[in-house]
Amino acid sequence: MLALALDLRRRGHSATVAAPANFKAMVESYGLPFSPASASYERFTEEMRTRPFLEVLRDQIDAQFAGLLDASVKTDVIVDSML
Amino acid sequence: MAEFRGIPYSFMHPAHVFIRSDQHPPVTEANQEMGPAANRAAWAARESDWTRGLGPALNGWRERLNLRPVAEAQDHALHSGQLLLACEQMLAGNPCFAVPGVKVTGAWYLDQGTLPPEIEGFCRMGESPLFVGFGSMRFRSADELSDLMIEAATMAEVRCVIGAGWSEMPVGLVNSN
Repeated sequence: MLALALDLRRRGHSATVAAPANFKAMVESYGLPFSPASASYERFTEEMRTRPFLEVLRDQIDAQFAGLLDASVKTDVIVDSML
Repeated sequence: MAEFRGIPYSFMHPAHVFIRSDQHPPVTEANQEMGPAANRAAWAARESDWTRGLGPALNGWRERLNLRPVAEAQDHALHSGQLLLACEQMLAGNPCFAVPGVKVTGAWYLDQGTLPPEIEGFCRMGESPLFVGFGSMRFRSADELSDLMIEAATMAEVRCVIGAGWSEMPVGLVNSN
């Protein structure tokens, strides 16, 4: 997603990376705007070791919807991924 | 969210195994060789699990946004909008998907500048190595994964650079050959 956002910026578009909060520093180190879209992805993958995947995913839905509601204001297109 | 905003939406899959197909089962059963009928049944079973497990929370939000409920949560989450497969063609092969319009873009690479000197040195020391990256994947035993990777590279007689990512695999030079 960073590669995509950087290439979009190179082509004159503006791109915001909406991602789990623990990626903020990495995204901003590339000079890209960041918008939190859920809690820590690292904690998410850690929890998947001990809890059923769908249960862990379900707990993310509220944070993701709330985050993306903010991130998608004045947006022309959304490119999403499971990463 | 794109539906709520009334804007186009794309979903990028980093590997073909995440896209529904009769040629492979869902990724949770990825280590099993099954035929088309069994693959189809496995996708349907996972769809049922997703809809039961995530449907109420997903549709609760959709209701708040005045959007119609979705009947199939997995299909909605993984197969909506323009699907992009950001994977090298040689790794994906030519899969036939059960969802239309998948566009294969090739992998998306982030230019991170120069390689660390020890990796650069290893690359120059012999034949071009194969790169295997684990990204954000986590495993129950990083040591077992490490042993497996070394065994696989030895059997395949390839020099290999392993991107441990978040796997917590031990890092170091195993054998310069």
